[in-house]
This record gives sequence, C-alpha cells and structure tokens, in this order.
Amino acid sequence: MGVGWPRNDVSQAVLKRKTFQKGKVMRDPVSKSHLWKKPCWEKYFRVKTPGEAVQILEELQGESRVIAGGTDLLARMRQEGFGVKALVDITCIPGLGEIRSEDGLIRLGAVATPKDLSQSSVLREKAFCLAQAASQIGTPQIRNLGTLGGNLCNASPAADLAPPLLIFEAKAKIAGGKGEREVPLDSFFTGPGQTVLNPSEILKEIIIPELRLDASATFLKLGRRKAADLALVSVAVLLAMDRKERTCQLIRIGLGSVAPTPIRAKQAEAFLIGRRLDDRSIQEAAQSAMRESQPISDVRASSQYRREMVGVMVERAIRKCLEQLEGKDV
Amino acid sequence: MKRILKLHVNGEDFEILTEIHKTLLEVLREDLGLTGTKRGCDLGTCGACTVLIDGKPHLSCLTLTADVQGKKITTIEGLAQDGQLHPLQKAFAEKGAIQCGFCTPGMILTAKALLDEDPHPSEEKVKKAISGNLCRCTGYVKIVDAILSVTDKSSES
Repeated sequence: MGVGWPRNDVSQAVLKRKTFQKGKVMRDPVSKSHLWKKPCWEKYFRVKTPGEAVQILEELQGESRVIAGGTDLLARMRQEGFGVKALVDITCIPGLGEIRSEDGLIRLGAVATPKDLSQSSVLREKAFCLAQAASQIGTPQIRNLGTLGGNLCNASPAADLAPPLLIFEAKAKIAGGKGEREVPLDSFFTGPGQTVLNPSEILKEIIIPELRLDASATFLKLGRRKAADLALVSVAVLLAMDRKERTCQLIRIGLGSVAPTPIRAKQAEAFLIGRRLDDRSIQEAAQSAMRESQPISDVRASSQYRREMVGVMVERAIRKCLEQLEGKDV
Repeated sequence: MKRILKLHVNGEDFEILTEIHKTLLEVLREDLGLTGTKRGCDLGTCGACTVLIDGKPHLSCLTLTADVQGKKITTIEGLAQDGQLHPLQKAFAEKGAIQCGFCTPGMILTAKALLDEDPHPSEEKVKKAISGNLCRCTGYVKIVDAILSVTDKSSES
C-alpha cells in the first residue's frame, strides 16, 4: 500500500547527501515534492456494477485505470507524474466490500478494507491469520482507506495479504468482457507489479475455504519498525498433524518479500509432509524454504539477511502453529 | 474541469467551485483556507494530513474531494468550541507535547477518534492508534502522556 513508496527515495537521498561537497548549493534531495505533478485524469467514473466497470475499461482500451482506495495509485501518479484518460472507481459497487461465509467458503469482496478484514467476525473465527495480516498493513489511516483488491492487484512482492491467502489456496474471481473466470492465487501474480489481469478486467472477489478444525495457521511479519513499513520478510504457515504420531498431515508455507512475487515454499512443504514434526525436521524444512527464496538487496535489507530471516521465521511460524494445535481440543 | 462540490466541514456546509481531481487536502487548504491540516509527504505515509471523516481518521492527501460529499469532515479548526480549546488541545499544550507542531493537528485528530471510540485506552492502544502519525521531532513520549492525561481527567469527573 502507499506506505512503501517514498521511503526508498528518502533513504537513498539521505545516503547520497553525506557525499555532498561543501559550498555547493543544492536543492534538498530529500524533498522531491517540487517535481511531483498533480494526479491527472480527464474523467472519473463511479460505477455501480462490475459490468459497467468492464465496459468502460474496454471502451478506453488500456487508457484507464481501476481505482479503489487509491493508496497506491494516487501516490504513484503523484510520484511518477503519469496521467490517464479515465479512472474507474469501483468502491461504490454494492456488495463488493462484503465478507461472508457460506457452505464452508469465505467470500471476500475486493474493496473490503484491511480494517474490515481485521475486525470481521467471520475471519477472526475461521481464518484468523488473515485478520492478523490485515491488522499489520501500513498505518491505521491506510487500513481505513486501502482495499484487499488493491493490495493484491498492485502485486507488490511484499503485499501483506498475499502469504496468508496463498496458504488458504485462495481463488481470485475476475470479471471481464467475456464473463467471469477464477484463477488460483498462486498463478495470479506474474511479477513485481504484474498480475494475470488484462487491462479491461477487474478483481471481484477472493474465495477461501474455512480453516479445517484440526488445522492451525499463523502469519508473521518482520519489518524494520512495527508500523508504516513494508515487510522485510513475511511468512504464513498452515499446519495439520496426526496427533498420535505427531506426523505432518498438511503443511503450506507462504512467503512474502523474498521473491519477485509472493510464493509458496513447495519444496519445504514436500519435505515435511508425512514426516514426524521434531526439531530436526522443522529446521530442515526452514532451510529448504531459505533455498527456495530469491530475495533482493535494497535499502531495507540485504538479500543475505532476508534469506537468513526466512529460515528463522518459517521455523518460528511452524512452532507457533504446533503450539496452537497442542492447545486445541479436537 | 471545474465542478461544484458540496462539503460538510466542521459543522458548516460549503459549496465550492473547484477542480474535480483535487484531493481533500488541497481543497481544505487552498479553497477553504483551513491550513491547520498539513501537507507532509503527500503520499499517505506521514499522517500529517489526517482529518476525521465520519469520525474516523483518514488521510486527506489520498482522499478525493468528490468522494466525501455528504460526509462529516472534521479538521483541527473544528475542535475548539466557543473559544475554548478541546481538552486534547489543552493537554498537548500543557504537557509540552508540541515541538515544531507540524504533526500536531493529525496527532490530535487521530487521538480524538481513539478517545471517541474508547475513552479509557491503555498506553499500548494509544501508541498503536498514533502509529500512523510520524513526529520527526520524535517527541512521542509527551504526546502519549498528553493523550493519557485526557483519559484520566474524564475518569475523575
């Protein structure tokens, strides 16, 4: 969400400032606001149905953008100074922000805000780790404004909601000119900032199953500070085990911020499945997850540190799931 | 393109002829002259531009004015009543919770939203509530003290 963008520039600018020569008059590199242009669009549509949104997007052939909370889009338009012909606001579509549970499935409307998700009684009861992740996005103000769909469609590798949705094997319901289609979330992201959505499609809904009663799930986020920061590494784990043998029946590991897209650590999962859950197997699974991650170095952290933390956090998350399972009476 | 927008700010109704792509922050400062709301990062990170929309803290730099027609907007100018400062404003002044003052309007409004929802928050909850408001003078301790002092007073009375 919007929180990430300026920090890169600011920190880099501060680093550069140290090398300035004395006596040279330079503009303060920290403030780039004199370079920013106003967000610019010719038309702003507040649509009432997904079909209407798709129609406008098709007519304008890629010269329009969907806007929901605007926490990423407006900030980026301002920083990069790009304009579009039209913005299509989908936040007024009735029911698109609903969170409901039916037939063992939870349906999350695309414009539900992180605040809605974190306070939803459905999620707190049936998919708590998603509510947990939502309550750690950005800042309280951003959580009032941003949306689930925006978090996913912006396709940041650090999107906080992606790892917990990946471990629930979420499906994305997409509306387009040729009707609706469903895409599994792990093939939804195609690269940093890129998704399978074509320019005239909108994300309508995310569908996840309820958490199995004999399973537990958890989400951990590591940042440089507790608020207003992107994750350096985020990990979500879903675990179910045979209580007698302590063998792993089901394991899913979702990782954020350590690859071009949010990913599942499938080799680590394959390693652990059917194995007895003890210190050694958990540590080996964590190491496998480290090998699967491909983090980059940036102003927030080095790739070595991120990879190291993948191991620490995966181990911690699995242990936390185990604790929760042991406390559960099934 | 200019259009007439109807806004409800600090208990008053306004009709403003303005560019439709203006943010609430720009309209408040440039069209209504309410410069108490500050423009900090203009990207939704710092919280200096926080205003209350229907009682909840929102970032006015990322809010389009056209979206908040018909909603109740409160800025820092709307807190004092009949020349009397709001208890939070008084507490900030008395406790020295103001250094350069740039984050203060956003801080106070965020704190007000918290106290309206929960009149007796814990220190932890106060810290969490203002986690989206950055104070670059880093005077957070006194800010938290000031907010907590208001909760004490209301419990005594």
